[in-house]
Amino acid sequence: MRLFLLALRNLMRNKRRTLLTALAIFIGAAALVVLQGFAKSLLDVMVDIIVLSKSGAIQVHRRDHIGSDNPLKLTMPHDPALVARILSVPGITAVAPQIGFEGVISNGSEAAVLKALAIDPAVEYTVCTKRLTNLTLGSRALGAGQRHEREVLISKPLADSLGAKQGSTLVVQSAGPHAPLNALDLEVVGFLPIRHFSESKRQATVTLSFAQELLSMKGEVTAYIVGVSNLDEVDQIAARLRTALGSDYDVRSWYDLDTRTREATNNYRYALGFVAVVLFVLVAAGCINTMLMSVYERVREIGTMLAVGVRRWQVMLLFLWEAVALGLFGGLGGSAAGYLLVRWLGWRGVTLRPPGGELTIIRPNVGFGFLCAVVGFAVVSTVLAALYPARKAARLRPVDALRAT
Amino acid sequence: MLKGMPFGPLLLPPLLRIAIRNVWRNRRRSLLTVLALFLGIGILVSVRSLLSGLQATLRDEVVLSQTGALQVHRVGFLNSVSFSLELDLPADDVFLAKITAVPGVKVASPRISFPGMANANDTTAFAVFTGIDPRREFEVCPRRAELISVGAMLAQSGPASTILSHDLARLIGVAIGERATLLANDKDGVLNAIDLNYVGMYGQAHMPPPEKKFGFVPLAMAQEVLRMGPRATEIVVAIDKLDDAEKLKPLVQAAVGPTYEVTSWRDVAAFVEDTIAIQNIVLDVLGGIFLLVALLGIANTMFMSVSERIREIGTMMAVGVRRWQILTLFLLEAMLIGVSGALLGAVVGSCWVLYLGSKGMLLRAGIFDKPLHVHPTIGPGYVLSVVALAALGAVLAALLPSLRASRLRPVEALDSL
Repeated sequence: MRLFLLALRNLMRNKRRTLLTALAIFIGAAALVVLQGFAKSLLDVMVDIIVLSKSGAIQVHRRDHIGSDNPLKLTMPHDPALVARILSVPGITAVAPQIGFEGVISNGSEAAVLKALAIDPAVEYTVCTKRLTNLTLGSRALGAGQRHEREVLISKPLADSLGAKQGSTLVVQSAGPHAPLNALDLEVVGFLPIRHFSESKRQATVTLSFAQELLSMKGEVTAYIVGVSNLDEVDQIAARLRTALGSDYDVRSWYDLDTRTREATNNYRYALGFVAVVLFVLVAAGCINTMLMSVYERVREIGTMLAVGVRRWQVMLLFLWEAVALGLFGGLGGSAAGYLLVRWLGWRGVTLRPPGGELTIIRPNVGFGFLCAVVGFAVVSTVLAALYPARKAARLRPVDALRAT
Repeated sequence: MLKGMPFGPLLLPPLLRIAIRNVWRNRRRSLLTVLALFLGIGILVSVRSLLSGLQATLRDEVVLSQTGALQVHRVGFLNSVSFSLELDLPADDVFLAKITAVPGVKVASPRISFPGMANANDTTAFAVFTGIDPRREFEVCPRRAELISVGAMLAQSGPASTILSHDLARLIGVAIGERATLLANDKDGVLNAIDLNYVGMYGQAHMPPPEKKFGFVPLAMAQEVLRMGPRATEIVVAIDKLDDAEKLKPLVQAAVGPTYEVTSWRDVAAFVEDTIAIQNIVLDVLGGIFLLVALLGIANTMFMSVSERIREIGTMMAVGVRRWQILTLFLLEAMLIGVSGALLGAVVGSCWVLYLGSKGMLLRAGIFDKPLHVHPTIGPGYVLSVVALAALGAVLAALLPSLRASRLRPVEALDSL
């Protein structure tokens, strides 16, 4: 402790130098915090859109359903007992059945291939809450208002090409797994916006009971989508669900299903790591320089210390403590400044456009854990940088050191 | 005076000579400061070039394997999703010649996209087909050929051939060399069929969404099955220099007339430009931070240097050196450190980039189903501006310490220890 106080006093001896060195650490730490605040919240928005408006956190299918040549043949029972089994897994908050199928949609004269998703409006919105709002202006969600099974939400471009308006009637044709081609008509109640270039423009959402009637699949579904209490634990929850359901079922988390977003998350981690390493090198170079300076300035002083019986390891420790204080000073200050900036940006909201998508408001935020990690990183960087100068100081020979000017 | 220096008595202005000597006098400290700048600039140059290479590859990938440089459609076609065959355009030699007559245009390749069904082994699957002119198509989108994973290209003549996507071929259970039937409705809604020889597989399993079931047939076969005569739904245009796309767009538009709509790859694949813009902003901001941190090192070094040399500065003033000369001396020292670090970083970074660029590297990117060939490149403009920025920054960073040195009072300076 006495050594640490001594170290602090040494730092104060040359305030400007200490300040400049700490400023470099400060800037590096603040940059890392702001970068994390931005990128993490952007990724979170992307994940939220996927999980809450498309895929749910986890999806359950019959084994081999995904990638099957004839997926409608591999279905699961639409059964309260199975739903209860899924819901009994800790961490799972909601379950909703779905059927995905392909067909042809037409207005009588023109037709288009269709990728349809059938949902149960009674429970779907407990998992995909954003499905209620992820619609173009003026649309009505399925099952809202008076309940009516023959309703469809279709993608805006598809609707335009078929000349369909709200209230128009369209016909959907498809064949079930054990039935011939069937056709039923539907009323258009709203439109799905297409937000990303990789999304299919041929999408439509219909009610589950409609799909079961069209495809003659009473009592069958192709997927259960699952909502979880904490998205960060999705892996553990998926693993528990896998054990609970056994090998007849295929349990996948959202990022098994969406490789593009998973890739983006990984790329961001690499980028952040890279930036941190570069900043470390730059900060360390400045730190080595400052510490070497102070060793050279204090050669006589070190000689005196050694002559009056201070041990070599204590001299080394003294310089390392100085580095720790520098790192703490710069790291704490930088993290705090970065945090304030991030909070301010989060309070204001930042509008930006993800590539190929629509304007989104993101609210940057950064966790306490990350702030601690940045401070720790700053301290480790400065200590590593100070090792060489500190060793140099500790190895001085008292006689030579005292003779030096 | 210059003894012990590796430069020898060069014919340099005296102030610069003294500055060089002073930087050299404290080699270790100068070296460490230079090192920080060297690393910062070197890394910045390398990342910039890697990113430029990646961006160019991304652009080429989109343009050369999908969109082509320019596209011509009937007005209204692009907003339609249902492959309206009504919105077609002529694909005869006269019309194509109008487009290719525009200077800078290389080839114009007509395509027809239409929904159809592929049938083999009693299995039928809906799919999107594209009729292409094999020879012209591979001039317009040369990278398409790389996407054929098994088998061969469509034959220009001879028996009708088809290329099917992996998923479609698997779904209807055909192997290379086997026959499949293509069924499609013509403009009047009549279902026509044609027998095709399955010659090549397009892409691999797990293609990215949205479309997984699609195929290609020769343009003539598509025209026959759709009863279209010499017409098409789009004409894709290749140009000599991709950067000229925006310049050539109005020229091609003028050549084809207002019934048709000309778009460039930037219009169709706006996400490429968006991605590139975001990456550039992020890198510029990070580069600025790297530079700032390195320059703080210079400020620190210069402050130390001034406080070490107070007596020396006092002596210089006492023997008649002017204040502005002292100021210039210290600014020169900072600039020497800044320029040498930046130059070193730029040169080493550029050399590494040139090496990587000549070798090329393979990278995996999320949205593509194959590894990308990336050739890192860097323009001399970027390197020069980074070096200039570093030199300017070094001078700015040294301004405070240098001003302090030039404002010392000789008597007090000589009196200090």
